[in-house]
Amino acid sequence: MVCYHRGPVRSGSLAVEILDLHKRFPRTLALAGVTFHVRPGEVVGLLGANGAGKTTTLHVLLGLILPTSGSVTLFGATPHAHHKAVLRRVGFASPEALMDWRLTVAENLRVYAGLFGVTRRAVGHMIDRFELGPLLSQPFGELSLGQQTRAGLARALLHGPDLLILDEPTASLDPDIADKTRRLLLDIRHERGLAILYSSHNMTEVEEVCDRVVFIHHGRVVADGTPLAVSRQVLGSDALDAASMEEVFLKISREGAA
Amino acid sequence: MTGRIGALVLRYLLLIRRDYARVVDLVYWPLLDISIWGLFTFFLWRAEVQVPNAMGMLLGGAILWNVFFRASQDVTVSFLDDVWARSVVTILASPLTFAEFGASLMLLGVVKVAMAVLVMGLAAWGLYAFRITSLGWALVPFAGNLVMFGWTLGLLALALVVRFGGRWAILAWSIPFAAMPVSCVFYPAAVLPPTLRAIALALPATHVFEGMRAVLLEQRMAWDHLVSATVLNLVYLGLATCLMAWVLRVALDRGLLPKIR
Repeated sequence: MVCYHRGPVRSGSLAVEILDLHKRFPRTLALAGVTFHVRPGEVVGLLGANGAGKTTTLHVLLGLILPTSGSVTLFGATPHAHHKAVLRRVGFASPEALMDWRLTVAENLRVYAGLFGVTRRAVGHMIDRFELGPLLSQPFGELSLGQQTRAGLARALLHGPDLLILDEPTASLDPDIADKTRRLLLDIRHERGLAILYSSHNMTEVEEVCDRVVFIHHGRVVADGTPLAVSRQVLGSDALDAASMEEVFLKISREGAA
Repeated sequence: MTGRIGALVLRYLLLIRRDYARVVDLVYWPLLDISIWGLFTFFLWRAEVQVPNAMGMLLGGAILWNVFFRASQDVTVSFLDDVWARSVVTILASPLTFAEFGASLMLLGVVKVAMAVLVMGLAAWGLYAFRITSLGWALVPFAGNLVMFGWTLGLLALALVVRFGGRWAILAWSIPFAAMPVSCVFYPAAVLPPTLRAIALALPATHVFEGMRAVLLEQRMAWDHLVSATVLNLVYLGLATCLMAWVLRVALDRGLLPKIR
């Protein structure tokens, strides 16, 4: 396994720390010893083929699935034991985690502001930041996919989280909207210095956005490092572009361990 | 805590405003019940069938039945709203706890019960010049017990939906009706055969409706029925809460929550 760290890791100072995480469902072993971390302010891509264990890992982090064994902490606290404290510092967005399609964007944001104890001013700031003004009176279900993604990101960032967990945020978006979404995320990361854990199949996106990538294959981390380090290790090449990351993905998906 | 519960209740109330089908649901069934039982009362009068305080007994039964039905149904249906909107994960990925989620579903049930009673009260007054207040304030603690029993059955249906998926949603509507024949809404428990009577007296709802009849026919507070209903309710609600907690543990272990459809 490639393992490249930029500096010493101190437990408790990490946005995410996962150690030897196992998750066994009745018929499958979904995670077989996942270990990785995300530092504050770092953007980490969580990559792997369908069924590799990415979404299960993210759901464990959100406290939606109990681990079978291993340790999971966000900012030094376990999501299951310290649900409220942890999730106050975390934002989550995914095409599978929607807001209510019948309510307008304004109504949805009002509800989630209440769930996170956020002021109207903060809501107004997010509306401006994501240029949602013209969409406020539209039902969420009538928005285009790109607009839904923007509204979902605004919702995930309403409470000023320190960690943003994104599960394939640009899936189903056309290249233009996906590019705009990526730029928006990079701007927000630059403004706020928040950590982002980013699950995606889009290697262009990964290369553009991520400081580090973690490849999961059959529930195990098989590569962890900067895109360049992982590419060198897996392909034996110094070239780093979208095509090479695509090749890294294919090689790991088809051949397993790096 | 109250802010998060309030936010979810607000969400459901906004939904009522946005979804006209919900308004119809809130008004249609109460109106239907009041119309049917009111007309049935007129039939009894015309046929000169001697049923003491028939209007109060039948309309009171219909109103209290709606209290029970709404409280039970709305716990599950409100959760199913989130399932159908694919917003369960979005909501659970917030600082909201399961207990707060459950409390919001129950509180919303109370709000909808109040709306249904208001609609039925206005309909009974408008159609039959029957004042709901003539039933007496003594019925309020009995109605409270029906809300509790409704929550119990609602939690039972909710536990099945969480454990086995949205295809069990039909239970949200059918469980209260399954309890209706042995809840003695419109007839006394004494008319039931012994076995059914034993089952009926093990249900808080039966004691509530027996208590209602004592209030309306004998103008007395049936403390024995009120105490029985309350004790049974506390036991059953406690058991239902334990069941729900266990099902949630299983759901977290098996990763069921993000997969509910």
